[in-house]
Amino acid sequence: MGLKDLTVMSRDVPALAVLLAMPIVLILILGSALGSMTGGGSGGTLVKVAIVNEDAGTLGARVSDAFTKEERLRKLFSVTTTLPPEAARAGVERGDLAALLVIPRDLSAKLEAGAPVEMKLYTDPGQELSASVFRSVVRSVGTRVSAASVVAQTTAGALRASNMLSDAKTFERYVREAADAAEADGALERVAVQEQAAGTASGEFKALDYYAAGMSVMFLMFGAMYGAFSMVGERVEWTLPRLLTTPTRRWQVVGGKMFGVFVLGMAQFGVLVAFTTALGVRWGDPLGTLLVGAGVVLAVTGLTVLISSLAKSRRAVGGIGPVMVQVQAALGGSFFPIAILPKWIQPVHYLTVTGCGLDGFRALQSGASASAVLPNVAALAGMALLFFVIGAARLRYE
Amino acid sequence: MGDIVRVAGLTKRYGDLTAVDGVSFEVREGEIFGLLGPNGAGKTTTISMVSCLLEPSGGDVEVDGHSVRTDPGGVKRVLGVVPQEIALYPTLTAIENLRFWGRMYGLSGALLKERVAEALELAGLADRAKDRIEKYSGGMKRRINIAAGVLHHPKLLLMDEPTVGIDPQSRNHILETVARLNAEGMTVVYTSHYMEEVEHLCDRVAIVDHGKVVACGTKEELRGLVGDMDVVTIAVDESTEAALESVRAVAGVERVERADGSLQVLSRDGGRVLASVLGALADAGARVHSVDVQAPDLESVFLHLTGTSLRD
Ligand SMILES: Nc1ncnc2c1ncn2[C@@H]1O[C@H](COP(=O)(O)OP(=O)(O)O)[C@@H](O)[C@H]1O
Ligand SMILES: [Mg+2]
Repeated sequence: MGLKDLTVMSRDVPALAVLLAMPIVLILILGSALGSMTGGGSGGTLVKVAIVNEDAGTLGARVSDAFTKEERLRKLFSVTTTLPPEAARAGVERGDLAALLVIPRDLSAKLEAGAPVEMKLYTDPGQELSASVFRSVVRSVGTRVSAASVVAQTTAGALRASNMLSDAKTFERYVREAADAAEADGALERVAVQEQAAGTASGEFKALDYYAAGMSVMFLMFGAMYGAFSMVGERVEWTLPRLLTTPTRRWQVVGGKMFGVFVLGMAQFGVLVAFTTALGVRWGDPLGTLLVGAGVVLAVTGLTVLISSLAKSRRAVGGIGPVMVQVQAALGGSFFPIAILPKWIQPVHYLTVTGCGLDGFRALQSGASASAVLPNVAALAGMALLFFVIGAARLRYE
Repeated sequence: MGDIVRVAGLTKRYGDLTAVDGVSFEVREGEIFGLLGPNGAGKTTTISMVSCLLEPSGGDVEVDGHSVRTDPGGVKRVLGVVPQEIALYPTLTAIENLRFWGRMYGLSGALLKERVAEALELAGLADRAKDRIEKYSGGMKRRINIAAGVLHHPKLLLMDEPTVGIDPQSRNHILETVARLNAEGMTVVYTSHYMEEVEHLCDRVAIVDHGKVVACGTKEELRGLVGDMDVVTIAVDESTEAALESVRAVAGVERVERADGSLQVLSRDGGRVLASVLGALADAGARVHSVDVQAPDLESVFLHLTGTSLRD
């Protein structure tokens, strides 16, 4: 039964096109369109900040140099140091800059004297997330610098402190440590996440990842439609009645059909994963990916039975199927991250096959282990069972 | 020989419509049994209940001792079914279809292979085995449709209108196939609205109309129902209602029916009433093309029993 269905399927070129070619095309289109939407060029994608150094001494320059030299920060921030203070502040107000750090005139003098210093930070509320990361790095640098000055003061005197703080390497180290700290509390990642939602160039890969998962889940759902087409087809093309006159049992007939849908779905999933991996999509833990994929396909198989039981004709499947798939796809986040939906509706996505599946794939893509997505797999299996039970109870044979 | 099928008081209701209304008949082992009736008579519905596809609203069917009500599994193991519709997978080849249906009938391995080859040969399509069904002509599809029902050498073969809408050549092939299968020992229930086919093939016949069996027996027994009447078939230009009435009024005419471009007249002595009938037609202004006097066939039996023609 399943084998026969696979052969039938392999001869159905339009269906193959829908189930395999369309998702791949969509993944490419969505991944790259959104990837370059705000990107423009390679350099313009960074969070823009400015540092205005008013320090009369040399230490201020070290601070700003450190920001432009530290590798991880350079990937995130595009630092301008040449703007006059008023222009820089206006830039923040316009939103051209995410933040502005003003290093005061007396920084060197005060540090050398071991006195507390204050650096001013202006941020654009519209770019809160980017600005907050900059803030946390700056604050971290500030803490270390002042700690160093206190240490210097109490142990070896101002001269020594002055030497120590004017050493460029030390400053770089402070900034690096600050970046480490910011990374440790997740601040850098937050920027990465936000970048991806906004779709910047460094997020191009991520948009591709996102849509690879989203579209795969959605088109696996179309597999349910195909399965239902095939089941209803058996009914309207008289092969189902004929099957029921053979000694083969009803459950074997339905089971064989479901087995076919399942194998087909897994094969489709395999091809999509292989293809998108070749494009550079990182799916994460292979076992977890397999499990979530199997969960989605299982739910799809259950859905097949449900749709077949609701639809009397192929046309009805053509009506019910896409609506079911698209609603689930939209609520589940296949088209866009569900974060942009109204808050009250967001939890609904856990009730959809696409949502549960996508959630699992996203978790795996950002490094979760197979065991972390087991709840998703269980939820999907539960949905599969629910669909199947409702569908089987309604399934018509005559 | 014993009865392999016993149909007793079989009834199927769809809401207000009684599609099959208390049908009873027996099929003897080894015979070809005909179920003859016009479209909508309830033949398919009856066959569907025998093959456990539909549940009877009343009555029962026993196949080889198994009741369709209590032991459908037992019934299905005895049966081969050739449905009225082409129930095949169009995008699969003939051989793939046959392999699939063979498996569904529980065949596998070397036996399956052997039976598939045999069925292809029976259908006369061994050389087209690797073509997809969708590329076949209607007649070829019908032949594979039949082949798929006999792969497992069933004791009883149910055939529902196996020759509908096909070319004469394929029809002859199918009629020969049925005779051959029967000669090899298969009992066949043959459903049709073509009187000639049933007349040609069947040993015993049940004539059905409006869900009821109007007559059942051997062909000779059925002809006996018409008695020693002749059937006069008169081809006319225009069989107006007036012409019909005037013929009906002729002494010695038992029944008159209109059937596409001709009148069928039942009479105890065809030769003697012929002159008066032709005269009546001439008076009514109808032009006669040809006249044919025959001994009764199943068509005239049907006409006699129901007052309507079998043809649609
Ligand atoms: N599923 C159904 N629902 C309602 N009426 C039906 C159904 N199937 C058949 N009928 C009706 O039952 C009658 C007998 O049909 P059928 O058994 O197909 O006749 P036949 O095979 O002799 O042409 C017809 O009047 C048909 O319209
Ligand atoms: Mg019929």
